[in-house]
Amino acid sequence: MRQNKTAKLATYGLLIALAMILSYVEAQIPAFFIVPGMKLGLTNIVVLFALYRIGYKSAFFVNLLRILLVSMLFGNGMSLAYSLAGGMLSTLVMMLLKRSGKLKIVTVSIVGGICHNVGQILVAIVILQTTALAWYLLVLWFSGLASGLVIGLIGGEMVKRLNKIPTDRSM
Amino acid sequence: MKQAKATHKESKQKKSIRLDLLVIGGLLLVGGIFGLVLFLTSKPGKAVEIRATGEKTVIVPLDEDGRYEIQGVNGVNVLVVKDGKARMDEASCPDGICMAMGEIDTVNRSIVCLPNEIVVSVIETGRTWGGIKSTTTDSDEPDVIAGGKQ
Repeated sequence: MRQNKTAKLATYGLLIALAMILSYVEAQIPAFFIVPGMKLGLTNIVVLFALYRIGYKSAFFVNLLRILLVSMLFGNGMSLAYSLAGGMLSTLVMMLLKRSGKLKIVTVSIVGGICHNVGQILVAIVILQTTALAWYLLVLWFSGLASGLVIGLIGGEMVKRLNKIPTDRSM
Repeated sequence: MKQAKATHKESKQKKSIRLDLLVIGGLLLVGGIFGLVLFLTSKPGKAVEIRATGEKTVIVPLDEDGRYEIQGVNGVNVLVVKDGKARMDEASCPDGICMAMGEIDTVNRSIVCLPNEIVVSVIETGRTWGGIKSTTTDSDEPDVIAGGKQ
């Protein structure tokens, strides 16, 4: 029982650290994408992995803690609001889709990518009190789809190949 | 028996891929329809509305070239109007995403600076044209625009 807890703690720590590093790496990549504001969402690889290899709870808390810690380290209150809305919406939707068990990991990631961007735009509409973001929503709808596809393919491979990390089920 | 099981599994897998394709296709379709609606309803605008949190909304014409400083929450951005198009020329935010958004000249297109909480959107001229004077002549120095024309 105690060993279980320690292994769990170590795994969570590892995943959160990894997610934070990927967040940081992504922030260092200049906006080389044509679409302003488009992000690859590298941390979603970790979230997908946690979702498919460890469990719903870990996916949720790894992403939540990652967002809080990264905002505290590199961001501000405003970036926290956007990250939280996007990150939590996409994580919750992906949890529901995974639970349904009817979709492939790539599709789950694509829907998650779109939800992430939609969540951020919704917060922006509330904070900025404007509906002038419709065009931007359109652009981010497709960029979320594209980055969700890429991340889903990478994440799917990771889930397939990394079987040896201790999980709730194997512990 | 074994073979039958295998084909059953295969067909099940095919079915689930079909559902995935359906979902992805649906998402593309929704985005496409959304884009089409935006495209079909787009009209050329004659003015831009500048909104900054905590500041007055200001409307500036697109048919006159100008350079406008906008006071945002965390700093000043500079909007340039040239040849009937508006673009963000300078921004105090770290990412410069608003500058990357390029030029706008169709109604409801907008440039958004999230860190500074500034929204610049193109509007139709008719109904709001009269608003320009009333919003900018309240005081000698408008709250939002400090620079004025070039």
